[in-house]
Amino acid sequence: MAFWSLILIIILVLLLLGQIMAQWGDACLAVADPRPIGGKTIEITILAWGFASRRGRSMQADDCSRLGINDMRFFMTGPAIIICLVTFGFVRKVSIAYRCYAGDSDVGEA
Amino acid sequence: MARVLHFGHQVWANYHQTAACNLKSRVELANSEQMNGRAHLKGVAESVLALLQEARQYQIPVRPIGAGWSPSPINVVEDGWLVETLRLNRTFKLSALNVHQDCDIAAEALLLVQAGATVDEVYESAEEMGRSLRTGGASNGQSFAGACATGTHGSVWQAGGIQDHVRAVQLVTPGRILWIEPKQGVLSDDFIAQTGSEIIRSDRIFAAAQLHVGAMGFVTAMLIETDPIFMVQNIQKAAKIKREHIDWLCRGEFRKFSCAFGLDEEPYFQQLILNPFDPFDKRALLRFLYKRPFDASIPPPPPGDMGAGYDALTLLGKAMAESDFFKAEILQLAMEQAYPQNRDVDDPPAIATWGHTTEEHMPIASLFNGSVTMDRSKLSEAFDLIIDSFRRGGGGTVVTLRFVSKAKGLLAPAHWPDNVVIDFDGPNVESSHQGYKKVVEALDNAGIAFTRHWGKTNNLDERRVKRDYEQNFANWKWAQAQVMPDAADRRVFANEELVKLGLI
Repeated sequence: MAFWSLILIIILVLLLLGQIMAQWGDACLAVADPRPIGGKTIEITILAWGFASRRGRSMQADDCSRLGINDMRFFMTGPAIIICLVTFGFVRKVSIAYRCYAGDSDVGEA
Repeated sequence: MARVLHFGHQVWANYHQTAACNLKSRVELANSEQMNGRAHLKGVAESVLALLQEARQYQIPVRPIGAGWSPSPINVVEDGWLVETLRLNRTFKLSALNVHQDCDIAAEALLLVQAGATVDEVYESAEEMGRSLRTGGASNGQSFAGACATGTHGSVWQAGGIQDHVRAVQLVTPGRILWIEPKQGVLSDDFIAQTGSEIIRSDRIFAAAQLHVGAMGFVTAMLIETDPIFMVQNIQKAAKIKREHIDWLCRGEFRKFSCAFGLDEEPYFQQLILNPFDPFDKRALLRFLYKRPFDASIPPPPPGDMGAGYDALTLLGKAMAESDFFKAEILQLAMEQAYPQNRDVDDPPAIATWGHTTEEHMPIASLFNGSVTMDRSKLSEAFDLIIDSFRRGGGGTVVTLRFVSKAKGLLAPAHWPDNVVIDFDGPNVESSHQGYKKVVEALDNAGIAFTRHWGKTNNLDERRVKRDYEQNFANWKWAQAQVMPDAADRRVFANEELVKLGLI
């Protein structure tokens, strides 16, 4: 019995470690021919596993001068992972680092 | 006039996250609607002039910035205006009517480039015109103007730096808008007048402006010369090299080296990446590019993988800094993981235009980059010294050998007839810095002359810059004083690093 309990504990610890490691990973989305400029990192807090109001979860990029976003990277910081862990996922802070698109033109006439 | 967008106070970090500053305001410049290139140049230059005059009046330091690519703190300014140019990214072709009567360059070879156009955009524009650049750096995301300002180079052994393409510079100071060319005119007086610029035709001032380290004014546009379009065949492989191969490279026996590891012909580009912990028993990463005629039927290569996991190198570096165990193995793993396995001599030929020899680049967290440039004939004498010293310092980066000829510009680090550039690129951890310092000390102790890259970690100061560049430094200072005679104008471009280097 003690043996199987130990095995179970080890599996649960590994599952937990796996979850922490997985949250450390990042994901990136970029336009095909990037022309990045400016940008910043914003942190969005998702409360109550997403059941709380949507308003707190969506924000606007207001500094891209009407040309849109060049690329975005989604990740969680170390402290955010710990907070997520100790609150059983109730508080989940996701960071989005984005850069704006500087535009692209063909060669013009001098 | 250009659009001037103020984003207010913020903390700004450079592209590689190696330097940061508190800004009074981050400012973006953007093109407005104009009928042609010269009107764009005039509008932007007048906006920059007004901005610089305001900065001088209120004693606000200004730092013009492209992509903020340089890992050295050359691109940060405390409590000042950081003026980003990346939206000024238009390029323009010229006609024979725009060219000066004394100019011996055909109009179709010339390309007018705004200050914020990235290296990638310039490559694309050149290809759109059926042209090509001769050389470039390892990346393509930096602004072309910024790459020239710091003397970025690749490993085309018969070419110098990227600034060698430049034939004229539009430069704005708090007092004037200038068009700087060599004594032999390039563009017509009429054309230059329509860009709103005063003409300076002087070989010495032009050579200073070709590589100005951001300390001669605000570059708003450049005129560059391109080559007829060509392609290159890429051979990239991991192979064990011997000590005698370093001697071949020292003597410039590039064909012999290529014959041993690549194709039996003279390479256009040749580069080696070595594991300093075991340079001859671990496999080195070799890259050769061979010039080929342009063939429109060859499709461009697919874009490289981008994205997740790019912090892995930093994590590996931190692991290596903590322990001496398996350093060589860890570094070898990091070196080989990103190297393609299908570019060997027997693989189907990988041929692309020059513009496709670099891949799109995403920010890599906190990288260390340092380099030393020296007379190529000193490579054999210096190689073991460099590797031993770097290892003694605990260096956690790969060591890359690149080869270039004498580059243009008074402050070009590659100022010997033939140069080898030894790069140390890796995670930004203390052991990388220590390893690099040991290399610098060892070369000094051995009496081997060398210079350092302006845009990389370099630990330079005014005394050392004067010693490294001697009369060229004095000539550069003279040129700077011709462009900005008033010290108050020069102070507008001051930041801590440029003052430390003695350039402001």
